[in-house]
Amino acid sequence: MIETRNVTVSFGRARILSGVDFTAEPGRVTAIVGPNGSGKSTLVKALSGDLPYGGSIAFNGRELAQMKPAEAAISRAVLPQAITLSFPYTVREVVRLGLMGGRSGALAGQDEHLPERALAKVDLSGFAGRFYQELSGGEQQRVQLARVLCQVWAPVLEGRPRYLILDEPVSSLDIKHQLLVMKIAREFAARGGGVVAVLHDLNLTAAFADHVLVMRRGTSAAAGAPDAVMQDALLSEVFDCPLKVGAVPAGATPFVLPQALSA
Amino acid sequence: MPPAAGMLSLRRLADAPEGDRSARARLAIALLVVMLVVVAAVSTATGASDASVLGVIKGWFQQGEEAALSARDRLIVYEIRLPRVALGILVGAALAVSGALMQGLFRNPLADPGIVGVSAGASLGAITVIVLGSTVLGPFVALFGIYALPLAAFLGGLVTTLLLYRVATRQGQTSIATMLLAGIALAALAMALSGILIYMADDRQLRDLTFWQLGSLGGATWSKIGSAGPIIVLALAATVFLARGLNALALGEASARHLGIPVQRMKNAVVLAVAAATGAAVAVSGGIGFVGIVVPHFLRLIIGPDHRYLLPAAALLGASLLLLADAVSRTIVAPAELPIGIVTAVFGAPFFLWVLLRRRGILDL
Repeated sequence: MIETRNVTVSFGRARILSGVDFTAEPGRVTAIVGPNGSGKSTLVKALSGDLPYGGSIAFNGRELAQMKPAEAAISRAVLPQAITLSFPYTVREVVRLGLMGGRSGALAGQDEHLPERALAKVDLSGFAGRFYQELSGGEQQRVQLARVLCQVWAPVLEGRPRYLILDEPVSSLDIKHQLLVMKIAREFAARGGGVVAVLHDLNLTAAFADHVLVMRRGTSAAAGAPDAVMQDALLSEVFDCPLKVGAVPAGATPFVLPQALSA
Repeated sequence: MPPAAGMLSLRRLADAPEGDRSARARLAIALLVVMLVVVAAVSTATGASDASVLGVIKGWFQQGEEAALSARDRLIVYEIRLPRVALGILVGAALAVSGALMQGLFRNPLADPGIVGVSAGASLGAITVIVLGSTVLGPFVALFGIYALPLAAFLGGLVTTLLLYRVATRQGQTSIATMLLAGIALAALAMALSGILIYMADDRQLRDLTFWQLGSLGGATWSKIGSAGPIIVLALAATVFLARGLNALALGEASARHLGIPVQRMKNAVVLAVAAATGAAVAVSGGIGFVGIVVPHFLRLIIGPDHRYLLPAAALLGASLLLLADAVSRTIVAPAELPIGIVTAVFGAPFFLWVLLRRRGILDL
């Protein structure tokens, strides 16, 4: 379990996160949603160990600040928003970087085959020999996802669940691959791992998340199951625009529709 | 390389998964070893004097009375040519690996100790010792003996690298434009300070300095190798432990840390290795430019940017190329000698421009 207690992050005098309590359980896809500037990315950076924080962030009971990079790398993998490379790495060479810690959790001797398997998962079979720099943004994003999957190939290692931290994993993907990436996240959770994903698309959130954290002005506005959190009033207020949540038939996966801003 | 090893590499080459260039890289390294051995042997066997190739080679394998070498030839080979070849190998390897390390650290193929002012800083350190070694810095020279010159160059290179990194990097992001411009400023400052020292130098020091500044392997002695060699070998050996981290760093500092690399410690080690290797090379051979940019760039085109292979390959190719450049510098105006720094600049500067033209977006200006 990832558990944060009263997490604060400040840049100089500006307090970006003020007292976030948040739990991401293994076996679940936890979505973080909220308007621009609400602190989603900052929270994910804090969870990734990129920022000094106040309060507590614990992975499976271990405080993040106490963990060495190598130890943290075993318990979680992080997909950042976009990565550009200055050197001509092939796709396979990039994906293989995920294996450098040697703790993929795959069966002995299988590591060398993981790049191809991970690339197949993200619908990039046959791309191994291409140069990363020559791919489109969406393809690059999926290559990075394949790399991250190699790092935590087994969602559970030595009895301890592992976590995928995804910062806007579908931001540059077409709809087919948005669904594919969300399915990969679901599968990782179904096999016992935990997923934390920053999402902008409320409909994807409703369809794929087990648990939703709604952020507003650096703190949690609401948290709970999608059905419970995705209410007209709450969403309209947090996102500061008129939103209508519906479901057809009633009780099915909810969808969110924007209402005309000026009628 | 025994033929069997070559065959093995070739077979692995055919079996390698698509996009995996490690078998190709290992084969290239084997070929580079062969190339260095050949180039070093030919360099040792040829020179301005008429010591014969056959005689030299016989001299290696024969002992005592049968040795075909005359005492004069033996002296030429052991005290002039061999030290020069050994120094060329050390300096070439040091310059090429320093370039590759710096490019990995700054995540940019244009970073090179010669271009961003680290060599100028190292030169300033060395000039300080040459000019002030008998007066103000007497105690420093007395304390460190033959290591005083490379140590001073190392310190000069280290200070420059640290300043450069401090100026160009903010929150883990290195601005390439800032790095290159800061490099120009730091190099200008180091050269201005060097100029002041040169102004203070006496005639004998001045002659030493002029030739040394242009870069030369001339005057190679076993004692020079003894002073710079251990530092260079140590720095090169340390890079074995930095290769993985530099590969991860290609993704950016945060992602490298997410993969389990202690990024700050690794960067410190890279800076130390660059300053040590560049400093030691500059101390014994002066300003030999462009090796650090040409060699790694060329190799990346062939074996890819994986530092586990790039760093040893750069050491080998850098050594071979510097020996070849030295051969040119010794023969083109024979019996006089062209400073080797001029040779590497004549070939290297156009190559640098070609890299810029091919990848204009590289500066993000």
